[in-house]
Amino acid sequence: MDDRMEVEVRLFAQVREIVGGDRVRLEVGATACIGTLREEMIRKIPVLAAWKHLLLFAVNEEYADDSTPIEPGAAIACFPPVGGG
Amino acid sequence: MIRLTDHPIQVEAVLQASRSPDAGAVVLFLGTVRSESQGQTVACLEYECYSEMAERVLHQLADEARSRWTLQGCAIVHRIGRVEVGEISVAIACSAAHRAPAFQAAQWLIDQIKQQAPIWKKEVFADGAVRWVAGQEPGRTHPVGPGGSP
Repeated sequence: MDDRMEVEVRLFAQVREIVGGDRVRLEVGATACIGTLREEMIRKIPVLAAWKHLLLFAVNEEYADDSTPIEPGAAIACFPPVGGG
Repeated sequence: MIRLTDHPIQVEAVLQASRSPDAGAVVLFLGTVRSESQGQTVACLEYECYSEMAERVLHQLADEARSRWTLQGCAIVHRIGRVEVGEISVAIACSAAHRAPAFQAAQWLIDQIKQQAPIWKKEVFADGAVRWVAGQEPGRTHPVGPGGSP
C-alpha cells in the first residue's frame, strides 16, 4: 500500500504565472485523491499557500473535488477560479 | 457551432449556424471588450483557456440548454488570445419557436460560461500595467481571489 505514483499537473492563468511553468510533477500515494494532491502542491510550492482553498482541479477534463480519486494516467489540471465571457 | 477561436468572431456565421425554418426568434448575445475598468483605460484583454476542457464544457452547457428549453439552434464562439477594445469576446446565438426560450437560454448560457468554462482573462491597461480579472468558482456567483475569505 506504500506504492507511490508521479502525476503531472497542468497549470493555468495566475497559478501558471506564480509557479513559473505550465506544468508541475508531483509524487503522491497510489491511492491518492485530489485533496492529497492539493496538500502536496502547497507543501512543494509554498508560494501557492494563499491560493490553497481557491485552487480548482480537473481530472480528465471534468471538475473534481477533494474526494475525487486520481487514477494512474489521468489528465490533471489545476487553476484559479474561472472568468471568461 | 461550438468553438474557441483566436480569430475575430464572424457574427453572421454564428447567427447562420443557429437559424432554422422552425424558429420564430433568434437571440444573439455579444460580449465585447470595454475600454474602461475600475477607472483605468483598458488597451486590450488577453484570454487564456484550458482548451480541451473549455470546449467540452461549452458542449455540455449547450446540451443542457437544449434540455432545459426547446431550442431550434444554439451556437457559441469564444475568443482566446488578445482581444482589442470594441472587439467581440464571446458570441451566443439561440433560436426557438418563440422568443421567451431563446432569450432565457442565451442569458443562462452566458451566466454559466462565466462560471464554468475554464477561461481566464487579463486586462492590459494603456499604461502597460496588467491585472487578472478575478474569476468565479463553479457554483458561486461572486468573484473570488486570494486574500478574501478562506
